[in-house]
Order: sequence, then C-alpha cells, then structure tokens
Amino acid sequence: MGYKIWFLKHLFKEKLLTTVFFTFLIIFIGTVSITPLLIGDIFEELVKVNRSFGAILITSLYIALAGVIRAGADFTQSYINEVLAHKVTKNVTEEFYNDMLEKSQEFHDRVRIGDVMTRSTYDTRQMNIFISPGIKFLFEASLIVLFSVSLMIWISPKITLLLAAALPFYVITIYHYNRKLRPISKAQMEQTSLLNSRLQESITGIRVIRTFVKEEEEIKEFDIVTDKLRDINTKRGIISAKYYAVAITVLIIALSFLWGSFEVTAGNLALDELITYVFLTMTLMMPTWQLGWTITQFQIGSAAARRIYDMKEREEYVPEPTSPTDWTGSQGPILFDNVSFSYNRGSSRKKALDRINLEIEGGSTVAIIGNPGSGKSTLMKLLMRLYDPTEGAIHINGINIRDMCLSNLREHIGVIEQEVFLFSKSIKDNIAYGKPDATQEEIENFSKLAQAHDFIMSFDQGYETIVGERGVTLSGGQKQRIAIARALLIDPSLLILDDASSAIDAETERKIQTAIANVLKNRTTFIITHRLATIKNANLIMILRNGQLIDSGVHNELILRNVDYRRLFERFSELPPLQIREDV
Amino acid sequence: MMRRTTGSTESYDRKYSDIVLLRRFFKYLGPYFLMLVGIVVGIIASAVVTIFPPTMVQNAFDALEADAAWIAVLPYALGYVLLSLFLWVIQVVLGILVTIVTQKVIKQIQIETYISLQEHDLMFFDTQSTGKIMSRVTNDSQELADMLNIVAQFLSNFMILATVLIWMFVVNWRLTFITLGMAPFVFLVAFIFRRITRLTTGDWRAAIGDVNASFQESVSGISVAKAFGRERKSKEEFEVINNATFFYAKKRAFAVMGIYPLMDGISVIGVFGITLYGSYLIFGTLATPSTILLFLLLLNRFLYPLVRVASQFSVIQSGFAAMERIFSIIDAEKEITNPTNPILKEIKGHIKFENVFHKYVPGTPVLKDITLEVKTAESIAIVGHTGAGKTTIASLLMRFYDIYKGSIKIDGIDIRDYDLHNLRSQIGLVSQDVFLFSGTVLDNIRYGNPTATIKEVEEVINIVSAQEFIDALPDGLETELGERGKGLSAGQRQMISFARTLLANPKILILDEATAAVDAYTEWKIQEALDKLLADRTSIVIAHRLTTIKNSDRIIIMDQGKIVEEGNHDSLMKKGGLYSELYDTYFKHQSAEWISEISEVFTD
Repeated sequence: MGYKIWFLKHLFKEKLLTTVFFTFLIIFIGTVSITPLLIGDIFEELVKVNRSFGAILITSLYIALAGVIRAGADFTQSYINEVLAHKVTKNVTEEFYNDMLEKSQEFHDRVRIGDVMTRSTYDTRQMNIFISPGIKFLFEASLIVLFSVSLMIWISPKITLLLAAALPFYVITIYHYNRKLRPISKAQMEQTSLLNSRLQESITGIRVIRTFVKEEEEIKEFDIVTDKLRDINTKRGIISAKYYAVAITVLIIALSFLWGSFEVTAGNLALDELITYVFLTMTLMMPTWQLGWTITQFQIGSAAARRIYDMKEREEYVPEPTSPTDWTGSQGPILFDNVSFSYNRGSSRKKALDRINLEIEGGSTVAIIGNPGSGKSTLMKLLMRLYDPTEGAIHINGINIRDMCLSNLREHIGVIEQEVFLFSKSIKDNIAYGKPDATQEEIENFSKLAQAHDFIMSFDQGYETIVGERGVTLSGGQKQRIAIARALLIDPSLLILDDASSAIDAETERKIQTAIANVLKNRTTFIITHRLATIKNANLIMILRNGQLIDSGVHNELILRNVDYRRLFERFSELPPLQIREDV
Repeated sequence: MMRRTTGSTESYDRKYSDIVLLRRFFKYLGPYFLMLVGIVVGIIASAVVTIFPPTMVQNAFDALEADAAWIAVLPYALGYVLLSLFLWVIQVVLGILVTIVTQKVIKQIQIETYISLQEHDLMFFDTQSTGKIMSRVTNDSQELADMLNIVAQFLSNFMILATVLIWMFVVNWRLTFITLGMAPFVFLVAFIFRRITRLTTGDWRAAIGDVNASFQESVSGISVAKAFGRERKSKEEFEVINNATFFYAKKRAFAVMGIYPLMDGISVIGVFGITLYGSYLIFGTLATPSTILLFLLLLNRFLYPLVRVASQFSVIQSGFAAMERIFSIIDAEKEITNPTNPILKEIKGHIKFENVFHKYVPGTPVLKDITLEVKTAESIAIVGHTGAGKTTIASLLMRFYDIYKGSIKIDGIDIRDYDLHNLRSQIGLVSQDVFLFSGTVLDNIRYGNPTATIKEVEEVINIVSAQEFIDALPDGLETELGERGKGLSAGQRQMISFARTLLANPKILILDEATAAVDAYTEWKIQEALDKLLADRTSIVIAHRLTTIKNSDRIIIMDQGKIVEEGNHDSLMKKGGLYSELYDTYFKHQSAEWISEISEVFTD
C-alpha cells in the first residue's frame, strides 16, 4: 500500500502542472463531445426542404472553432502531462539515487548493481509511461465516455441500453486480461533481465569461456533463455491481441445504427439525431482502446513503482547518533573493545570477527596479517563504520565511533583499497575526489609523493587525462598510486592501507615508502600487507585467524613467541631456523 | 533509401546495399511463409472492407431520408453490423500472427548473434565495449523485429489509404479534391514532426545514457564515496545530470505531443471544407446530404493512415540501420578458426616456440623472434618487466591470437592444426585478472568440469588452501557470488580461479601471476601442494615472487618482447645480467638481507 501513497505524493507535489493538465483536459473533452451535436445540426438543416446555406455556414464555423479549441487544448494537456511525467521521473530518480548513497555498505554488498540499475532505468521509465500517456488516457477516456454516454442517453435512452448490455462483456474482458497479464509481465521482465545478465557475463567472461572450451554449453543455455523469452513474449502478444476483443465497440456502433434506423422509421427519432448518435458512438472507439492500454501500463507501472519503493524502503542505513560527539581529528588511542561481527546473510552465522580486544597507541603504524578470510578487511570496514559491530565497540580518542557523525568520522580517515576504484573522470578530479577544492599545486605535490606525477605527465593531457572505459586504461600499479595521492590529499588523521602496494613493483614501492614516511609520521596507520619489510617495521603487528586476534606485538616479540609468525617469516626471509628454547 | 545511422560506428561496421539487407531479412522470414501470406491477405481484405461500413450508413441514410420502410433499411444496417464483426475478427487474427512471427525472428537473430560472438576473435572483445555489443544483441534485434510489425502496419495503412481514395473518387470527385487538398499538409507535418522527434529523441537518449552511467558508477564505487564522505557532492553532481535529462525530455515532448493535435486541427479544416463545399454542391444538386455524411465518415479513415504512413516511413529507415548493425556484428571477420582437417589428440605437453613474432597493433610487435622449448613435464618460469611480453606467451599458446611469423608446436604439431577446442581443453590457464560467473562457489569451481564429485572439488580446494575461507562464507561452497565474484577479496577470487583450473585437470598448466593477490604464507602453502600436482605436467609460471621462481627447472628472462637470458637462479645471478638486476629490484625485498637494509628507512 505504501508505494501507492508514495507515488501519489510525487504526483501531487507538482500542483501547478496537475492543475493546468486537468483544466485543459476538461476543455478538450468538452469540445470532443460537442462536435457530433454540431454535425447533427448540419444534417438537420440539410434534410430540410427549405435549407438555408447561411445556417450551415454558421454551424460549420462553430465546428471549425470547436476543432481549433480542441486541438489547442489537446496539445496543452498532452504536453503538460508529458512534462509532469518527466518531472516525477526526475524526482523519483533523484530520490532513489540519494537513497542508494545513504544505504549501508552491507546493503550494497548484497544487492546486485544490475538490480539497482534496472530499477533506476527501466522501472522509472515504466512509471513515466504510466503517467504519460497513461494518466491522460485514463481521464480522457473516462470523461469522454461520461460525456458522450450522457448525450447518448439524452438523445435516446432506449438505444443506449445496448451499451449497458455490453457492459458486463467489457468488465469480464478487462478483468481476464488484467489477471492474465500480471504474471506474464512479471515473467517477461525477469526473463529479460536474465537474458541481459547472461549476455553480459559471456562477453566479459569470454576468456574464461574460451579457456575452458565452454562455447557450446553457453550457446545451449542462451538458446534456452531466448526460447523461453520468445514463448513469454508470444503469449503476452496473443493476450494483447485478444484484448482487441473490447473493440467490440465497433459492433455496438453498428447495432446502435441498426436499432436507430428502426426508431427513425418508427418515427421515434429524427434522422439528424441518429447521425449525432452514430458520431457519438464513434467517439467511444478511442477510449476503449486507451483504457485497455492504460490497464496494461498500470500493471507494469505500479509493479515498477513498487520495486523502486521497496528497495528504497529497506531500512538499511548505518544509524547516525542523535547527539553526536565531534572528533577534531586529533591523534589518540584506538580501542577495540570486545568487537565481534557477523555478516547478516547466508545460512551460517559464523563470526567474521570474534571478540577482538586491543588498544592501539595514537600515531603508531599497525600491520595486520592473516590468511584470506581471517577478517582483516572486515576489521577495517568496522573502523570506518561501513558496518557496525554486532557486539562490542570501537573507540577513537576515547569516543565511541557510533557517537560520531558518519561524515565527521570518515573525513578523518583515508583509505587505499586493495582494488582501486577510479571514476571515469580526469585524473585530477579523481585525486581531488575527497577534497574538490584542492589547488593544482596540492594535487601535484601529493602525486609526486605517491610517485604518480611522472607517469601522469607522460599522458598528453597530463592531469586532465580521463580514466576508465572512455579514457586511458591504467595499470594496477598506476591506479594504486593515484589512490595513494587521493587518500593523502584529504590529510587524514588515520590511514588504512589495504594491501595497497600489491600491484606496485618493489622499486616504486620503496620510493613511495621513503617519500610518505614523513607524511605517515604521527598518523595512526593500519596496513594490511604481506610484505615482510613493512611488517617487520610496524609498531604493532596484529595476527588474525578465523576472525580471532591470535596474537599481537612487535616483530622481536612475535618472532620469539609465536610459532606461526616465525614460520611465516622463515619461509620468506629464508632465515636459518631460529634456535629457541621450547619453554620461551 | 537514405538512412541515418544512430549510435556510433565501430571498426567492424560495414555498409550493405538495401537489396542485400532485404534478402537477408527475408531469409529469416522464410520459414513462416504461410503465416506471412495470411498476414498480407488479412491486410488487403481489411483494407477493402474498411470502406463498406460508411457506405452502408450512407445508403441507409438515403433510404431513411426518403422515408422508406424499415425493411428497406435493414440490409444496410445488418450489413454494417456483419462487416464490423468481420473487421474485428481479422484484426485479432492479424495481431496474433504478427506477434508469433516477430518473436520467432527476434529469437533467431539473437541466437545467431550470440553464436557469432562465441566465435569472434578475442581481439574483437579487446577493442569493443561490452555495453555496445550488448545493445546490438538486445536493442537492435528488437528494432529489427519490430520492423515486421511496422511494415505490416505500413502496408495496411497504405492499402486503406488507396481504397478509401479510390472510393471517394468514385462517389464524388469534387469533394475528393477538397479532402485530398489537405494531404500534402498532413504528409509534410507528419514527416517534419517525425524528424524533429528523432533529433530530440537522440539528445534525450544521450542524456539518459549519462544519467545511467553516472548512477552505475556511483553504485559501483559506493565504498569509495562513503570512505571519502562524498555523498553530498555526488548528489549535487547527479542532480545536474538528471536535470539535463528533464530539459531534453521537455524539448522532445513538444515534438512528440504536437503531432496528433496538429493533425486533429487539420482534420477540422477538412470537416469544415467538406460540410461547407458539400452543402454548396447540394444547392447546385451536385451532391446529396448522404454524400457529405459518407465523406465525413471516410475522413478519419483517410487522414490517420496518411499520418501513419508518413511517420512509419522513417521508422522503417531506422529498421534498416538496425539490420545493418546486426549483420555487421554477425559478419565481423574471424581470424582464428578451426583448420579444415583438425587434429584431435591427447597431448603430452612438449611445447616449442620457433622464431615467433606477434603484434596486437600493426607496427608495434610485442614478441620478436621468440624461440623456446619446454620439455614434457618440465616447469619453467618467465620473468621480466611489465610489458615484456610474458602474458602474450600464455595467450598465444591458448591460440587466443594467431602469430604472424614463426610457429608454435605442441608435441611437434603446429597449434593451428589442432582442433581449437581440443587444444584449449588440455591447457589450463590461470590468469591474473580473475573472472568469476554469478552462481555459487561450487558452480564456479566446477565450471570446467561440471561432473566432478564433491570429493574432487574438495581436493583442489585443499591444494589452493581455500578451505578455510570457503568455510567462513555464509553458505560455504553453496554461497552465491555476486557479479564477478563481488564480496570476495582479490586473493580469494584468485584461489577459486586456481581451483577451477586444477579441477579441469589440464595437461599443460600456465600460471600467469596466479597468486599475486594471495598472501605470501598461503602462496607458499599452495606452492608446496602444487609440487606433487605439477610433477607430471608441463607448466609455465609467470611470477613475481622469488619462491615460485626458484622452484622452477629453468628461468626465462624476457625484455621488450625478446628472450634475453635463460638458466637457473645461481647461474643467472653469477652472470650479472637482467636477471640479477630484476632480482635486486623485484625479488630481493622478499629475502632477508633486504629487510635489514630497508629497515633503516623506517626507523628514524
């Protein structure tokens, strides 16, 4: 029910447009129904023995006048209706977009981008079509029927009974049509989206298909998908074609004429009245078609509105505090207080993080190590409040991060992700992403720090070079260097490097590290890495396994007391095995 | 026929003559010949019948005006009823027939395009954007098939127009000229409006494309937006783009909504002209009131088909353009095809590159005179700077691309002589860019070997040390992966991709930075487990870590498309060439000495 109210609210928010629309709609309909009366008048004059050309001239002028008004009103109401539809679509898209940005990371992890995109593109379009011409059709058709039928009753109530007889037929047809169309429309939409995602996958995954020689299976599966879509579409087309049954209006016109001619010979009806009557029945043709169309589109449009609304209404936001405490960005200790977390999805409720307890001194460099799935990245996401811990709390500088405004927390945290996402904008815009008002000088300084300046300048357009599908393709290492510049530019108090240098060769990495050593000084830095040099030099090393913090300390302690850590180090540094007494 | 190609042109686009296009299109229609005949007959019949109901009314009017008895009127009235019924049935049947044929044709075109995609060279996909290819398969095939519907309507309207016009002339040529006088205006207005509509629609669609692209990018990069607290700025930017769409939509609305009211206005002039001129004729006894009645009834049957004919004309043009786009993609040149007498055999794994030259872009060779022999069950490592041509070696062995000079042989037979599928199915490639399909983890691992048992799957999972993280997934092996494995880290995706290849049990294994994103310890564990597995297989390892390289039988060093050195670690180090240089920059940091060296930088 909620989605209907939501939709109507959007519609009536545009008061001026709706008012103008309805005004001109009524003018239009009045002129549509009046024309048959005027035509009748002409024939009344024509069948007279002493017909007057002057009278015909005047009536003809009236017809022309009515026609001009009708055309003008029709244009105005159609145009306004279309504008209204686009205005509502625009507002809905914007509301949906804004909401998607507000939604929690957990929501985005679970929802497919394709699904969000279908709602923002296809569904908004369907809503648009439902408003224009859907709503126009709905009112136009209903009002024309109302006007014309009233006039018909006025001319001959008896013949109009025919319409009443046909009414059950209309109702039944529309009801059946409606009931059949609903499931088939849904099936059609689902199958279309299946076809699109299969197609997309087989294009983007073409190398894998070739590598595993799966072309034939893929074709077979695609064949099944297209077959099914064809069947659904055919079925839908046939249902629509059958709906043409409501065009039985034609038959009503014919029967009215049959009966009407009898009434004329019986002397109960004037000939000109019959003409008017026939022209009136003809005005009913268009509305029956329009109503059928509107019903179909209403189904599709309301399903679309519902899908947008449902996704929007999911209460998946990271809650903001009611009375936030401000973090000025000053360095202070970071406390993980009994932090547990499990992803709220799937059947197993296995903890991704299990009772993490640790206090970290402000300004220190912390290396986090652990095998894939041990919870390293999750811990960092909790720190940024992309998720909230299911148990326990994280404090920065003595403030529970839940008590900070999200924007306040995040403006002080810089992140360099493992897989860098750059926007299809210029390199400059990407680096200045977190600080849009940065000067060119600042941008260049940080790029130099991240060892990115030289390769950026090697492009013809330098910092204005567009990256992404429409621009240059950057290597993984280049992307990471841009991400480093981007993160440093916002002058974060806390920096998270999630395996940030895995795609950078050792020489460049060393340059970066040397360069940013000063920048990192006095900033708390978390580094998820498997580079031994980095680990060894950290102020604190956290070892995670299966979501648990199995040990933490500095290199010299861990190498003595932690067998796993020692083994890891031995393998890679190829040190001679350390001689340690068993009791240490 | 002139046509305006919408959308950008691609390298594989070509021009076809209209005759060729039509002939091909008719080939798709061929199997439905009987239905098509039915459609044409239906169209002609309904066009001819259209003029009769108004004539019946006209005759009845005459009879009624002469105060005839009802019995004289009855045949006309009844005829009117029956003819209407007939028209109605024809419309329903025509609708059904057109739908059936259209849907069958769409399906046929889509599957043919898809099959051609599966056969296209990888070079094709390297240079084309996914979105554009998709739009050809989905939108253009739709547009092409819609043409059938449009052509049917065009024909129907044209027939109606012709019969109505002939009938009008027969009844009263003077009044016909009045009606016909409006035709040029109607045609011109319809044609011009259609043009404006198409132009403004182009702008509008482009604006919508921007909105979609912006939306998609925002959702894809949501975690970045959140991390940088950029939501508000993003919203502002989106609003600007979204407003632009509204602006173009309004412009377009003017043209789209203008046409029918304008036609209505013109038809009013028609009514005015007919009644006035008709009445004038009646005074001179050149017409009867019933003639005016007939003309008024026929007017809409004349005007609306005329409007439609004018606007459908340009839709048909765009149908031709769609046809051209689809046939272009189906016909795009394929270089890599199966040989005429393909060799099917189980390979042993002896690889030989002889003076191989390769280029992706004309003029810039990426491999220059590569000669390399890998013995059966030998394990070699390839190292070199980015862009040295390492990955190209892997791609060439898979025959993703063909070389332009030299030969690549497996077991002494040129790979171009093997059956393409036979060849690829025996080579396993784990590449650095992992692509996972949507579906469960299990589906993905079993991709190359769908009949593998759970036990076999678990075995390979153990080899790649993935057991632990898979267990930690919400539904274990049955966990549904999002698009491209969303929700997994890069390292986890690599492990799944690795397991997938191992399960397919290839004779030759190529590991192209297969574990670059996996942590060092896990990589070491994988390495241990692999040793057994690789013992009787030929393997080529492209790697950046010391351990993997040291375990190889032989190390090949590449630089700028050439093999510059070859040997084992010790001999290469002694030589003091590129390897030792690479070792110092790339690999040394993984060894102990370097750690103590760099530690000075950090501990100030």
